[in-house]
Amino acid sequence: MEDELTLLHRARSLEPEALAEIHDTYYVPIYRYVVMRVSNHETAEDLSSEVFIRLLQALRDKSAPQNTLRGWLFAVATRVVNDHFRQSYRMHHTELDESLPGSEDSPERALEGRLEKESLRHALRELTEEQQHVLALRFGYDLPIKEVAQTMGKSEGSIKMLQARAVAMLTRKLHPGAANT
Amino acid sequence: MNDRLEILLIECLDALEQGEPVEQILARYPQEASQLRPMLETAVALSQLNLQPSRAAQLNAKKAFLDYAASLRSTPPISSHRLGRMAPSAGSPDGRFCSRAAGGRHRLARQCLFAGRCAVWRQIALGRSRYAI
Repeated sequence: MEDELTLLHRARSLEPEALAEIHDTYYVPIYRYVVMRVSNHETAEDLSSEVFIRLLQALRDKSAPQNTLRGWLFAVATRVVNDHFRQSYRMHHTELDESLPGSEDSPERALEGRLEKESLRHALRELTEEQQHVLALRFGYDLPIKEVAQTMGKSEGSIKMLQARAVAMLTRKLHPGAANT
Repeated sequence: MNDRLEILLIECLDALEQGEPVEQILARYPQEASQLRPMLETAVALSQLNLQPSRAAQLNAKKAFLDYAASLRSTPPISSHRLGRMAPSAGSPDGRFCSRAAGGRHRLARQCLFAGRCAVWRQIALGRSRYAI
């Protein structure tokens, strides 16, 4: 991918090739972050699209990011997810989890794997918002610790601790009998 | 979780991120291995969650994105004031435009997630007949 600043400059003119490149580069990581937060593919598709619509509006309104597209898109994704949760609560709407795409395993193994993933995603929803946020950034958006720290305005040590506590908490939710975790 | 175990877990997660296998990591902490194992397995499970969007969803999203960009190039900016006045309430028929953006699979169309944004899609529809329902 070309230099992000050049890409941003071209995107400000709504140049189709630049916009297509941005979408190709960032749609999947944004989607992965969002689906890890909302646990629903269709909702994640809608919310991810919303992130990119907001980018276009920002480009048009001249409020687009100046230097870093990745960080800006992430921040918008966070707001979009939070808005979604607020709206869901207002509508008394309960998200229904759906099965994630299957693997090539046998039906028994696929079912077992699906149940494990279902449990994991249910347990994720029981973590604090900050813990979900860190895990979604690390395992969904695939950001290294250093970038998570920059994004959340914390030290790398704090993020490592937050991540460890989130993993420990998740393990307790998944295995209530696990000793002293 | 006590402080020592927390520090060990941080070290283990670092090693996991570097690509070291779980068994190899646990071998360094034989006394705590039984406590660390389930946590490392959780971290591995997290990294193996299948979080990829479908190819169709990706293509539909890209098309909607580029179409919207094209509509912006050909129309003057709409002021936020006007957008605010035009914003429909949740559950409005405008949710159908969101369906289009999501490749026609918007399960929640009747409870439009983008109530405040559907006016944008309405603008597209007004300006471009191919978006008409």
